[in-house]
Amino acid sequence: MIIHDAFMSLKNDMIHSFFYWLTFVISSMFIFLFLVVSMSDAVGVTFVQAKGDVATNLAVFSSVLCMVEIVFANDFYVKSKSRELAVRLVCGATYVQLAQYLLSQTVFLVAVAIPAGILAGTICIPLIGLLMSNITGTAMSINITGEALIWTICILGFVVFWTLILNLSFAYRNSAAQLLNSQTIKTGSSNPFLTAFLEDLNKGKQGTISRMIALGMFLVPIGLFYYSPSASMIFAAVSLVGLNDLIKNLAMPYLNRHIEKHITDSEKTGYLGFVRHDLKILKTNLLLLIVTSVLLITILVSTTTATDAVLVLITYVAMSTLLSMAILFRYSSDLSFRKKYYRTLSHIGYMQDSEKRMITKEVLTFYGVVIALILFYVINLSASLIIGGNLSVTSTVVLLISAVIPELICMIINRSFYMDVIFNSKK
Amino acid sequence: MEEKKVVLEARNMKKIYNYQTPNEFEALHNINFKVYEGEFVGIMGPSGSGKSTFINNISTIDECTGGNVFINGKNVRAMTANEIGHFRYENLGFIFQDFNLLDTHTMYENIAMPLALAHVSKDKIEARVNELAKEMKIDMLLKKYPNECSGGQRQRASICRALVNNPRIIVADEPTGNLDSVNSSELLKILQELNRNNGVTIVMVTHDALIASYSSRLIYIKDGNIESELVKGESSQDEYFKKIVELNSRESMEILTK
Repeated sequence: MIIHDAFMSLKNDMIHSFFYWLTFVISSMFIFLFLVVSMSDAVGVTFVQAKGDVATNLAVFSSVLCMVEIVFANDFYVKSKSRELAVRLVCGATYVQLAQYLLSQTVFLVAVAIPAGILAGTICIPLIGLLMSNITGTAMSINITGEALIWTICILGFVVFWTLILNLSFAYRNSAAQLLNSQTIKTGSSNPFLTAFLEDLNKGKQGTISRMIALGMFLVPIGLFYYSPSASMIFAAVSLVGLNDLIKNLAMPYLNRHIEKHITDSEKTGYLGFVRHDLKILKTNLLLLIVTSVLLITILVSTTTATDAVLVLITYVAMSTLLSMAILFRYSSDLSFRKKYYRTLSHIGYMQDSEKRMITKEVLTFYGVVIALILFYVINLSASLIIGGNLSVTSTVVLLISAVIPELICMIINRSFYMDVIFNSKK
Repeated sequence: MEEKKVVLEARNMKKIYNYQTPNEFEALHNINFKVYEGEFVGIMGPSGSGKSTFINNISTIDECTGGNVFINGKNVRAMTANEIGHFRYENLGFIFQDFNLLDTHTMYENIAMPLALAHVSKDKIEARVNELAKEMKIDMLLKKYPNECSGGQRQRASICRALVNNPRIIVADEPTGNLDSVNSSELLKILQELNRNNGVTIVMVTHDALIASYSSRLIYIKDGNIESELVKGESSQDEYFKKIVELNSRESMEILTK
């Protein structure tokens, strides 16, 4: 009965289920892909005998990132199910039954996603071999090993177990009433140490000083890229703390003031309010995307062989794609709530043409901010490395294109999906 | 004697859910109904009788499956989406039981939206929103988001949004559903003043006989039909309230004795 209900829930909530499933497919594809590459004879490393080389580190890094993305997706998925969980709790379900309910959904999605992900990975492997052969000038054939397959399944199994623990603690922390009223849910997803640190940072500082400090924390480390490019990862980390604070203490108040100033513009009031919400819910994804880009660029310049450099570039492209898609998934999952908001806007008197323009402007503004911030970091870091003679202009162009293209593609898909969800559901 | 203007009219209005599917369900059966300018119409009926469907269909929120709805003499079916949009922000104010506020926008922005649509100047928007918010005792909450406020505060914000553009017609679906008795009474007084002093037409769904007694005419809906109608006329509110209670009791007894 529980398993049947779980399947019905998956079917009835297709948007969330589809994006959660797609996260598993893409993650399993990348995990498998990087494990195969790192364990292949051509690259000359086996995972078990890893000696801290670039290929193994990249495989571990990519796997961890994929796992983090699955946890993000799971967090959002479970929150969207909070009402269902509440009804089950009210009907007398135990935490074991809730665990069974959630686990059967996740296991089903993973079971369907792994073959699809491995198939996609298998298709990509010869292409990667060909690409590496062409760039390095050495014939390279990457063979699929059973070990990589087993490790992929083990890693995904571990993630499923991890998400189960997180989901159980989510249900345990929240009473049925809190789950029914999603506004009061205790997510526990934010880092308490970071939150406390940022709160302390704001204590005792009046508006402007606090914002100036945040701006300084954001910009000064970027300037230090030019002073010491080798330490750019540390500078980037400090800068991201500044950026996080800046979004909260400068961008949000600025958007509030801007909306208030242009309150007579009904479209602007509508779409900028949505952008403000998008920035709030997707801030973590954005910061993760930037930190990954910076980290991989710093690894790229530290490589000593052409094979390693190509591997890092492939990882950079793959992770940019993964993280851009994570933003797309999260954004798209939130659209089920937007249906209600757009219905309300129609009741107030917003016209369909105006609503369509609002959607386009919202998506363009949000992705514009994302692309601008990524480019800001990548351009500054690349420029500092070019000046120091550590990075070629060609590589920089590849990095910039790899950072921007996935975002542009996701932006187009996002807008199209947004329009479809809002206007088809209103019919 | 001058004949009153009809602002809303339903002719043979029919609503079928899941139309042309095996789960087809007719929620409203060929309803004929008129609302005159300046009326305060209360709508009552048991749960599932079709009250909300009725109010949604006569106020452009939903489209009826059969028959026609006329607003100020104009057939809604013949109106374009843009005309309906214009009509809504120029003439209609909606109050819903579940607030229908945008959690992505502050209370101020939520309330100001209909005025922005009507191209009201910034100063006037500010003055009007602040005036209403003060009246509804939420002036301290204008910078907050709806999900940071209580149910009662959110309902008051949704009432502010419905009243902010001085609508000619207010459509309210259980507006006091989440308010305490003091706030309910205040809201009803505001609606009554708007109706009496400004001639605003009000169509309100309620379960509460006391709240319905603020209306000038009561429609009782049962199983998708207009079952009975009460007109306050020269009766006092007390007498009218008693008539409403009697009507409800009679209808309830009929259900019990079936």
